[in-house]
Amino acid sequence: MPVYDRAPFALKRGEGVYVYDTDERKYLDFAAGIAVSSFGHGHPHLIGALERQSKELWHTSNMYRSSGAERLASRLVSATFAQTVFFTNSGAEAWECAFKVVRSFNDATGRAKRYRVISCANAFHGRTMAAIAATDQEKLRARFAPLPDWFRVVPFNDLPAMERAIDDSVGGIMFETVQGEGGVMPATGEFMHGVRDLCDRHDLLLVLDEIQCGIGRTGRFLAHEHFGVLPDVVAVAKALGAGFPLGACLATERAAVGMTLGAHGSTTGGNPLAMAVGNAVLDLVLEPDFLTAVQERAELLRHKLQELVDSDHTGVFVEVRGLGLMLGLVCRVPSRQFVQAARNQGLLTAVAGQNVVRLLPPLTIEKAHMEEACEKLRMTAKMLGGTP
Amino acid sequence: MKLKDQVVLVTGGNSGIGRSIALASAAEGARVFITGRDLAKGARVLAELRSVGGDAAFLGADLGDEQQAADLVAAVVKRFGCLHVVVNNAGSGALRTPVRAEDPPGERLRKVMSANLGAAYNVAAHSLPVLKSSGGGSIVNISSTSALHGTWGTYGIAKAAVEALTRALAVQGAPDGIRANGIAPGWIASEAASGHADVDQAASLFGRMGTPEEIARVVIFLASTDASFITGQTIIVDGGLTITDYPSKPWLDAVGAWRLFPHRRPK
Repeated sequence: MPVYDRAPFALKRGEGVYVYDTDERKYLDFAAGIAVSSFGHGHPHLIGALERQSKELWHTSNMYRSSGAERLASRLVSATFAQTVFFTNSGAEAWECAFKVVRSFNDATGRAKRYRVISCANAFHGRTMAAIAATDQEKLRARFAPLPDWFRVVPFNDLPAMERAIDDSVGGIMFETVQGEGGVMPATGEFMHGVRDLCDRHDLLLVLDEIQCGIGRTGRFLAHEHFGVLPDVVAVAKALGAGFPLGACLATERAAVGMTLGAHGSTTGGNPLAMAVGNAVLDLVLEPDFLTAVQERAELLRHKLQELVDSDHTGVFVEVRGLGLMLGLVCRVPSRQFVQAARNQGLLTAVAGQNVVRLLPPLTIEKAHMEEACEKLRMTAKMLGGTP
Repeated sequence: MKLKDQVVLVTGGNSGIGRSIALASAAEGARVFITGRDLAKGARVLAELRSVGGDAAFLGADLGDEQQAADLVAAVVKRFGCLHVVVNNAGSGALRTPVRAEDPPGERLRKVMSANLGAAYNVAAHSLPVLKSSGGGSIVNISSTSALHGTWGTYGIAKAAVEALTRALAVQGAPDGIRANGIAPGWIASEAASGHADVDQAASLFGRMGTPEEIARVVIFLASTDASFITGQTIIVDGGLTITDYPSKPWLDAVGAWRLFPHRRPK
């Protein structure tokens, strides 16, 4: 189905932070498949884990216990606020599970009429029906009416609006800790603290979508850690599988009180191949000092991008924003046009809204890659901006 | 219930002694706000507090950063409306690092002082006005018997400074109905002491380490009106270790002085 705005070439193989298309043209991958390939391409530890498991057992369904799933869940619980985990195959599924957690929590605690959730403008939670109902972005919703009235959308980072939106039909609040597709916009500390406080006072569940900003992308295991605030439910995916389809819904025991026997399921969620890869990913992300190194790389890249913006004579660049290695370059040209032009310079990036170019490099990039990327960004701006 | 409806802030409340203090406060009817740097641990203690029916909250913070300490106190006020008891338990770096030139210069001193004295100072500074407007209250600073010993390097120095902070707060706070006291624990069986199981026999006159609960009970006493005429004091809770003149095994190991105490050498 022709739903994708595809580049005119196919990628054939990847090596570290570089990918090659079918004509052997080389690209520096600063999109990582939309923040998925956090360890680049061809990482031996990840390949090894997948290979070993592929010779043992591919799939069983969830009719049996699974030692890989129990191990990965236990490690995620140790490393985060969570006490219980549901594995999925994608981010949208993880988000839908989180939404079901909110609905079933309110039902199980005698407040079934609190069926609505407050979500934020410019959100992107996936392409399933509830996920598009949760956003105000028309391009995601067009052609799919009628959508359910389950969501009340308020501006992001607007605490008074959030407070005004709470009434006795509301049972939870769901948003991205850093909005991705919406333009690489982090939540503010004030908003995070304030929303936690509102949730505590009204006994609402605080659900964070960390599908893109989680699993080390911002320099902490989960992005909410930057704010010191504890959520009740978090959806992750993307980098959790580092390229293998894998998602998870993390929750406290209390939040998940309604997720009882038979309430939810997935045929391939938690499958042995995914669990082997997920455990191998955690081996890398939870290695001592890895996240500190990501923070250092992020500081260095941010600094170089700021220099790029400050020294720009073409007028293409406006500013840099983001958190950790989830970065956005706000441009005066359409982001789609910039991304296309950047490909011609051998740099892969992604769009975010009309005029933000998303930079989502593998978390393992080195200084030389950052310099190469900045040079390619400079050349791209020169091509688009006319004479400096 | 000795702390009924009082609002208690426990720093470093997500493990060890801090966790025990938080749980003991909740058991005495308090509303508890805990903080710590490790959010995963914080979430677990928060769940424990709520499962015993407590009204509790958590905010992660690095209290060596004054802004984060300010944000923390603001969060407590936003959540509970007032503050009655502050337990400065956050601390780290309990190592016997001697006084010496470092590379980078001053880094160890800065880190140990920031985590121990700085955190307590920042939280106390921002709490005083709130304690005053809440009608008075109590600050309890957790120091350590290492403050009295020259064998604990930079950590002992920082903890001695915390005891001095206690005295300054007691004087400053008295006109506003605020008491400030400290507790100097000896060897306590917690995560922080987990590498020192070999100390056990020599840890106190009772041949054992203390438990975090044995510290928490003294915190409750000092925080409550039972201690209404006590201020500026640091109470040593160490099973008598500091009144003996025979050295502990860890000290003997550290200074290599077994030849001085051959009868204490383990078989």
